Amino acid sequence: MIGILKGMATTMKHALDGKTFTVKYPETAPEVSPRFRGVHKFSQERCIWCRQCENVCPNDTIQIVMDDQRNGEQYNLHIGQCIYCRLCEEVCPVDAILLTQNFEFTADTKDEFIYNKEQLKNVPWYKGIDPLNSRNPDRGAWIGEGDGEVDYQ
Amino acid sequence: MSTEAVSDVPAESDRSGILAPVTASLIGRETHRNAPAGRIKPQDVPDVLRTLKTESGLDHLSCVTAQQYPDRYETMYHLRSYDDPTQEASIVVPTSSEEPRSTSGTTAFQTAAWHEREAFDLVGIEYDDHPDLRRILLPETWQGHPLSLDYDQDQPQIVPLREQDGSAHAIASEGREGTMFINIGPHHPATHGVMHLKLTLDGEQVAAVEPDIGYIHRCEEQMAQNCTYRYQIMPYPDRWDWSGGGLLNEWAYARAAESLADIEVPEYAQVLRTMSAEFSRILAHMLAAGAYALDVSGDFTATFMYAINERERVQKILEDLTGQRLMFNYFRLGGVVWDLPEPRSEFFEQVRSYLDGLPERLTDIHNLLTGNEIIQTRTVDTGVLPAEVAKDYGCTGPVARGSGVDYDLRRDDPYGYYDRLEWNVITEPDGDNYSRLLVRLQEVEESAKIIDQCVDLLEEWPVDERTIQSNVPRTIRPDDDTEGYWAVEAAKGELGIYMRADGTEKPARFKIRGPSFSNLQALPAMTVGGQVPDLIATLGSLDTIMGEVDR
Ligand code: SF4
Ligand code: SF4
Repeated sequence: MIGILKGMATTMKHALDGKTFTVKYPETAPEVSPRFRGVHKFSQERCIWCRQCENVCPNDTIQIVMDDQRNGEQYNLHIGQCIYCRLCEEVCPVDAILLTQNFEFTADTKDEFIYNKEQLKNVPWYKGIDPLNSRNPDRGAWIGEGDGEVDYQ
Repeated sequence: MSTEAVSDVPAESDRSGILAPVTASLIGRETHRNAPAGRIKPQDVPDVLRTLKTESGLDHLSCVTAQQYPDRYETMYHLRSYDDPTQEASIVVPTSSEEPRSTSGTTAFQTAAWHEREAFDLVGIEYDDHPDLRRILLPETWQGHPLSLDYDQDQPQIVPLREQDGSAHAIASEGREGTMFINIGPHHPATHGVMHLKLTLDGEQVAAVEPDIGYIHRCEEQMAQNCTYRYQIMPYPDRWDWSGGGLLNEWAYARAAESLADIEVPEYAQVLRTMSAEFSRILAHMLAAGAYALDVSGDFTATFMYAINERERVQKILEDLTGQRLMFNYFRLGGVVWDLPEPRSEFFEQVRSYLDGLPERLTDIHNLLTGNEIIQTRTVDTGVLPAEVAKDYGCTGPVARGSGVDYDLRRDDPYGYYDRLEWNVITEPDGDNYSRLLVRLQEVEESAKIIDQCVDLLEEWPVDERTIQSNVPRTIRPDDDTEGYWAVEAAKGELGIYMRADGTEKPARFKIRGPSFSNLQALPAMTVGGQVPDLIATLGSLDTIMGEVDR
């Protein structure tokens, strides 16, 4: 009986201290760490079509299509199949593929999660965090580049 | 496989005395990177295992690996000693390609039963004198053995429910009047994942119980065999344990691959690994304790929330460090991917304030959980696992330590930075459900001690010596035919990996020894003859995670 009372005293103590861990999502956007790995962003201006990201990806999430001149035509990434390991970002020599902190994505069917390069370009930054700057500060910032209006050749 | 000679690996010759008691049975020697290895004939398996157990003190059958070569099949018994796990040996049993038939080692070690069933299921070796040689992970009507070389992956498989064998129940209820058969699971809150218990009841009493596993078999071994050593395997160990033990699992792979390919890890990275891995252990143990409260009685939702709350704090720290909350992918071969987040002082402060508040929060949890009379009545003296039985089933981790088996690879087979830090291995002598709970909660305190010392070290570390990764080539091709078994102390116990290289950038065989697999096997020994509610309490106390049982 003593034990049960002690337990009740414990819950009582914390019931009154008014601290909560949860946020009212979606009204309040939760804080994420600057290193958090969310949906990808892709920059065609940076990409040199070396296909290293495609090769390193452990589960074939990235599909690159090139023409016979080895010019890049398509860059597709299945954000619903991805395991967010960030290996693609890690091996990319020019930081053309990055994982933003954005974790909010929805679709009606699984296929809609296959993002092409325009969709990947338009993935918004989360709370203005620059992932590259927070993860690999020595590799230079990315933010501000490829932010919507840029006209792809 | 490989050479017949023993002497070409000098470090091995002085240890090879361990196989001395069975020299008469050896038909050849092999070179394994971790331990002396000898080949024997199938019919000698029980005798050899028994002799090694009694005369060389190898009383722990860690793992059984089976694999097929173009010209033969092989079963491998990885043995070590509970007293000193650096005492190891591997026994290799080659069998012919045409008729892969070996002899079971179950008379020497109970734990061989499930491991051999798995070898039969996935690789296709049959074991004479096995008490119950059925498939274990795949459905019973499955055609072919997926890890055998000639398996056709495109062959359609039809597995209708009605054709699944009900023999287990038939055996259990034979000769008993008025028993009742009950399924617990595969979807049941008490089974912590998709597991199915075939339960035969005699009134309220458990007459027989058979865990039916394999519901979330995801071909993890085969997946690893299709991935490159350097990058692609590392994200997956996280997924063998989604309770938060991911970093510990990553370490299992890192240790195995680094030993296989001779990769150095800088000291600084070892400290980072040690610290983050212990955070991971706190995560896993907190879930185990919180969920256990719910298993025992549904009234403990508040306790569960306290445990989750605790996890949230740890997850925040790990998210800042690794970039994810559960699927960390933080380790790399030769180190870790990132140094501490900048500004470092802020991170240290965050960790310190976490550690400072931990004792009080643990007292709260003890007040809510271990001090509670309901928990005590339900857990003290129920689900008792005697030390000898635990060893026979290859139990490790908090399950073994709760039975007084003083076995912890962090201390006994040191890796990382553990041997240079001050901490204790926790054991409880009684072997009941309560002991296992106590062990986990006390281990959280020990983890906190380790983290505290790591933070001290990291704070003092000279700026120009903070190397987080050694120079590792982009492609790793360990030499053809190198092989070995290495393990670390994961959240649930000994997580071992056997790897064999074939000179390419992907492993030829990748075998995972999930600690829960062996721990779960002991369930019938702990519950038969007891009451049904105690069965649930006992199952919860094993803290099985189906990701590493089914793999
Ligand atoms: S994060 Fe990992 S899984 Fe996702 S696309 Fe990149 S490499 Fe592939
Ligand atoms: S690795 Fe980088 S540069 Fe190479 S194809 Fe991928 S995104 Fe483009």
